[in-house]
Parts: sequence; C-alpha cells; structure tokens
Amino acid sequence: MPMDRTAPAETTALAAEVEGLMNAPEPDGTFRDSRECAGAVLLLGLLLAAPPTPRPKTDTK
Amino acid sequence: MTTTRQAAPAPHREPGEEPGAGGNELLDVLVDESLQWTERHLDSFRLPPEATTTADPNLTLKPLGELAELTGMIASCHPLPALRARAERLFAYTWQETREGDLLAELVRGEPQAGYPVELYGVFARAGLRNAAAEKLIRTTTALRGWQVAQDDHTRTLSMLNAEARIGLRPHAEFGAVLAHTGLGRLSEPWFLDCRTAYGLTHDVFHVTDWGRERTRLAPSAAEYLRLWLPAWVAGWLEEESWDLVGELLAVAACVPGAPFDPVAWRRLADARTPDGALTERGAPPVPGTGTAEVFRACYHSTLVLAFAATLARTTPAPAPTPAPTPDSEATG
Amino acid sequence: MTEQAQGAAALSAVIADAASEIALALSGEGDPYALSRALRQEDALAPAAVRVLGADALAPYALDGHPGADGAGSADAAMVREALTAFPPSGDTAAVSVWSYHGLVEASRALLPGHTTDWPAPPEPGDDWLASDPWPRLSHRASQLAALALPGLALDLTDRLTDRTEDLARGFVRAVRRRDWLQSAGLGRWLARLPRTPASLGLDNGLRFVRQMSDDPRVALHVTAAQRFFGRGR
Repeated sequence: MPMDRTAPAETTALAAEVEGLMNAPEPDGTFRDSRECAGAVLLLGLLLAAPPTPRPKTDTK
Repeated sequence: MTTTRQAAPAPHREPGEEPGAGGNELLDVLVDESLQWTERHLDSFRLPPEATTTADPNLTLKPLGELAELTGMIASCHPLPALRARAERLFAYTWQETREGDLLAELVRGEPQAGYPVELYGVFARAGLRNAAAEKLIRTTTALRGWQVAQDDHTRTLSMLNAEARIGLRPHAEFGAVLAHTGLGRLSEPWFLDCRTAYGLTHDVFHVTDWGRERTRLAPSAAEYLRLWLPAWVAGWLEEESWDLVGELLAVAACVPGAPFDPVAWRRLADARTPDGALTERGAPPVPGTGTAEVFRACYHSTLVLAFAATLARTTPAPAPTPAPTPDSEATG
Repeated sequence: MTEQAQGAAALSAVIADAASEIALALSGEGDPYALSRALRQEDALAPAAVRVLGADALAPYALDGHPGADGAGSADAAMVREALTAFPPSGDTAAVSVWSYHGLVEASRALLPGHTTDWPAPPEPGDDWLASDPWPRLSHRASQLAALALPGLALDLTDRLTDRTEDLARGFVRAVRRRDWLQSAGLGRWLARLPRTPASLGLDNGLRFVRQMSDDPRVALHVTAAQRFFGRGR
C-alpha cells in the first residue's frame, strides 16, 4: 500500500538519488601497479634488466 | 663481414589486412617520422669509450641494441623501399658502433656470464652480420653447463633461446618448455596483468615470433587469447597514457591473425607525440626546453616501438578461421 | 556535506545493509529471508532502496528449495508495490532505470506469485544500446543491470547479452584493472550466467578475487548470486 510519508520536495530529491544510484557514472579508474613496475619501463626491452657492469676493483672499500 | 639480406615483400596489401582507408598512410607516416627523429638523435645512441667497462649498459648498450633489433626488422620487412632504406642506414650505424662486432667480443671477455652480449650478437647474426672472434667466444660460453642455469625469468630465457637460434647455436633449453612457464604460455588471467607482466607478455610474443617475422609460430590458443584480451588491455593502458606499453601491445596485435586494426589507439599514439615526432613513454610529452639527454631517455624507446609496431601493422596476417567456442572451464582458464 | 549528499549517503547505507542481508540469505546463512525483515518497512528510505536493488530485493526466493515468501509474502509484495509506485520510470529516465523497473516487476510476478494481481504494467525498455554501445559502455550498463541475472528472469536480455559475451568479458578485464569492483562483480555475475564465457578469462578465480578485493556488500551480493545461481566462483 503506497504511503505518503514524505513531502513532495523530499520525494523529488529522493527520486533523483534513486536514479543517481541506479545509473551512476563510471568512477575514475584507479590504477596501481606493483611497485616492481616503478621505473621498469625504461629498463625493459631487448635486454630486460641487464645486470650492471662490475667496476674494476681498484677502489678501496 | 658480409651482409645478406632477403628481398623485402612487395608493397601491397596482404589479404585480410584491415587498416582501412587512410590507415596505411598514418602507419607509414608514423614509421617515417619516428625514424627521422631517431636519425636526428643518433648521437645519443653513440657508445661512450667506457661502454664495455664502467658505463651503465641500460643507458648505452640497451638503447643501441634496441635500435639494432627494431631497425633491423623494419629494414627487412617494411613494404616501402624508402622506409626500408632509412631503417637500413640506422641499422648499419649500430653495426659500426659495435666496431663490426669487435666490441661484442670485448663485452663477452669482460662479462662471460652475461646474457646481453649474446642477445646483441644475435641481432646482427640474424641479419647475416658476423664476427668470428665474438662468435667463437660465444660458442664456448654458451656450451657450458653453467650457461644452462637460468639467468633471469622465463621471458628472458626465451630471448636467449631466440638469440641462440639466430646465431646457429645449440639451444640451451627447450623453447616450448620454457614458454609454458611464461605469461603467454600460462595464459595468465587477463585481468591480473600489471605493467610488468604485460611487458613480459609482449616480449613472449616477440621472442616466439622472432620479433614479428614468424607470426605463424603463435599457437592458435595463444593467438585466440591475445585476440580476445588485447582490446581490454589497450583501452586500459591508453587510459593510463602508457604510450610505450600501448605501442608494444599494438605490435602484438599485429602478430595475431584476425586481430582488428584499432584506428583510435593508433590516432591516440600519433597525437601523443611531440611536434618533432617523439613519443614519450608515459603521460605528457617533455616540455619545450627539456635537455637533449632527458628527452632522449624519455622518448627513444617508445619512438622506436612505434615505428616497429606500425611496420608490423602494415603487414598483418589474414584472419584465422573462427575457432569453435570453447566450453568454459577453470582448468584451462 | 551538502544536504543532498547526506541524503544519498543515508540511502546508500540502507541499500548496503539490505545487500548484506540478501547476500547472507543467498549463501544459506542467517534467518529465513524476507524483504520486510531485510528492510524496515517503516524506514522512509525502504521503497527507494527496493527500487535501487531491483530484482535482487527478491533474489533469495529464487533459490532452489526455498519455501518462497510464505507468511511474509504480502508484506514483501506491499513493499515492492510501494517502491514501484513511488519511483516509476518517467519519460526522461535512463534506459537502465527502465530495465531495472521491468526486472523488479518480472521478479515479483515470478517470485511472489500469490500476491501479484495488480502489478503495474512495465514500460518497454529501450534496447538499441545492446547492439550499438561500444564494449566499455555496454559493459558499464550491463553491470548496472546485474540484479536481472536471476534464474528464469530477463531471458530476452540474457540472449542479447550472450551475443556480446566477448565484449562483456573484455569489460570485466577492464573493470578489474581499473579497480571498479562493483562493475567487475556485476559483469562477473552476467558472465557466470552466459553460456559461452571464454575459458581464458578465468571467471571463477576472477569472482573470488573481486569479492576479496572489495568490502562493498553490493559486490558480495553479485558474487554470491553468481555462486549460488550459476555455480561460478565457488
């Protein structure tokens, strides 16, 4: 049984909320890559992560 | 040192090629302008005197190796003679920079356990450019039991195996067995990819197909997997403005029979470039006034990838017959 | 917070509570389900919540072996009727809203059979978008209609979506990567129902993954529905 419990202005606002929830726009994408990705782009490619060249052992530690 | 090149395919449309009206023109412009930008920045690819000792290989040998791999492919595969010639000049430059392979022999002597000198030599061997000293050394090191110990992940091992095949060495592992452990071999859940595993997947495809030259080597199940999910990946990484990865994904798409040409993605990449034709790896292009070295580092890879991908897209394989729908089953998912 | 935002937050909270109750009932836990117990009838927001939940407000009655609405049937029917009356689709209402309204009427007829003499006649929802929307847009809309993915319900819509199974599967991939868990779960629920969902999507693992990445009760509801009604993601 329909019951009129709300004033017309509130009903209009509520109807807008209902429509808004049913037809919500897509949220912005949240992109979060593994931290392993950070800075990897430059190092990827032909050689992938090439190990650094060992320096000649002339420096004293 | 001899150069033996196979004749490039004639510039005509392959059956099933779908760039559509104007698509080929855009692709050719992208190759041309990318190569021109590269020509203007050739000095930045020049190896420093300490290239085999103290220089960071990721900033010296890696760019040069990528320049060689990608221009070598364009030089042998692009249908337009003018673009092949442009790529050929760049490729010849990389061989000169290695002092016709002498530098590679030095690299192996300096780091006999390292994989990248072998990968680099493989790029040139693929094109018929050989260096007796480097090759003799490589034959020795790659025959060791120690060479068979995995150096890195399975994708990198595929790269090694491809290099060994190019040089004519005995493979140190069975290609198919290694492939089975990669993202492509496993058919990773497509929604679980992040940028690292996505790069792994693109490289799985590049190694399987010898950088797009042997696209029929893609197993039908892998091709179907890529056909299904590439549009979702391209859309996501376009939204993230990861131009470099999108370029690689479009290169992969061009290796897949029947993968539709995506004019929107190509246009987005074209529009993301700087006025002089450089594509940055991610986000907005470098602001005017950025130093040459910084621009080079931000842009060289994506710009070369763009030329490579556009070359592949120019010669896409015909669509495969539509596979029968597979029943859904987690066992294969 | 504006007054309107406060109102929307209050409504969202009521919906979330009800979604939790429905998911619990679908998983076979909790007290026997009745819409009139999941939502307090005297709550002024209850009709709005029923309208937003759509067919899912009655989803537990669709379970095999469920005794039906029994004694609560007339109270549930009254709540649904109130929701349909208070929030009818208007001329400028989005297609999703019309479809959802349609689904609630259809669910009431099927699941509250003893109380359905005077349900409003649902308007014909627009369906051009099912063929013409590009896949990301299609996926977003389909996910908003996931409550219609109930056994025996919305058969025409299901057929139309079956024609675009690959597109919806791509939408799932895109939505998970964007961490849009509600869209992911809604699409996963449809894909659980569709007969030709590609195996390489890994839907079962995907549903479990989405369920655990999100704490939204509406996500839990969609995943539980996929599990209970279509046997996926268990």
